Amino acid sequence: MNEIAGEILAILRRYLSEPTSRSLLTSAARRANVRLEVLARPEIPQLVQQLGPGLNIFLQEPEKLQNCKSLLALVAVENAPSIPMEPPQQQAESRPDGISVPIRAEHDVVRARTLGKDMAKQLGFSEVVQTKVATAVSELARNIFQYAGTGEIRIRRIEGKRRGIEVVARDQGPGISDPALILSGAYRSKWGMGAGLRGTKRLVDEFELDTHPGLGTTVRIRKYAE
Amino acid sequence: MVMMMETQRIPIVRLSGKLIVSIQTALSDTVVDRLQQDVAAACERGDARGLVVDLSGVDVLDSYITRSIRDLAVMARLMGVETVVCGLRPAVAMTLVEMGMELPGVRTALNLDRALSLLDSLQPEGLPNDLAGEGDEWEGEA
Repeated sequence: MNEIAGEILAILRRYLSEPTSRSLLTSAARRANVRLEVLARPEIPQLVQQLGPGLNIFLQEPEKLQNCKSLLALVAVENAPSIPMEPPQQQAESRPDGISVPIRAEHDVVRARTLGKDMAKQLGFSEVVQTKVATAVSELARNIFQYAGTGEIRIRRIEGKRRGIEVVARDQGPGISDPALILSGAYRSKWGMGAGLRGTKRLVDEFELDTHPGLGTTVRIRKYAE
Repeated sequence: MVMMMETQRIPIVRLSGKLIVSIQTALSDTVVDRLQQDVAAACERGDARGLVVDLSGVDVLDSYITRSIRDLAVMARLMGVETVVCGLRPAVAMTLVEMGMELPGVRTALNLDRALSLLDSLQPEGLPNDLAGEGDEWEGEA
């Protein structure tokens, strides 16, 4: 099994036992007609496709199933190996790849949160940083759901000198009329939006809020590994 | 295949006069709201002397959920059921502190065992009223 196959196994292992993960992977590889010893990235989509039926059987919780599949899909679109495989390619620009989670229902808040944590874990972040990322994602996702109704959370890794995670929360909701007031702590909403945004800001390394009343809000946060 | 889950429900266990709620799942707002109602109903039955909320299985607590847990504890207390929240993971505790969100007015313990002993040590009457007046301080800090 090469490193790319190892990455896929590592994702499966997060949700399934070692023997189950291995047997799912080897049988999917057989059906996809790929060899795990020399697995190449372009072959991942077909392998992941063959993993689908097995995952449906073994992962009965819809949320976990969805998360597992999202992580697998993410591996497929990546050109660079993930941590802790090889030294990252020297590239200052971050990649446009990542996971997008539409926020339409309350359940999506939990999903976004879980994916944020999974991704932070996959990147080798410490437990505390993982928790901070997940909490920040949860706050942003909840704000979308409660204030705008629908929107989107995008989570992607930042490669380069400082490894990290970027989360962009975007909606076309009512916007925030006085963001400075909200962030100052003087404002308290019924649902605690002030607390959520202020808390998020404290948890991350970079925080940008772009809001236009009547048009929507975009929050971009970054958290670095160290 | 398993049945499709409706709104998930967190079980409330009764053990020698105490209610024990052990949360071992990712909390959605609906689940936590439901839990509040269930705990209120359980307290209303009147035979419980204490409530323990074990959060050891919770890996993320955001502001809304933290507030809900805190409200739950305060509510139970108002109904005469002393509450201890326990099992907060270190990473979760650190995150809450960083966000400026502690659990004002809520007794906490390291784990379930200690939470139960703490409840036992509390006198059924004449409780120290150390929680009074803190109820409105949530989010108060800048």
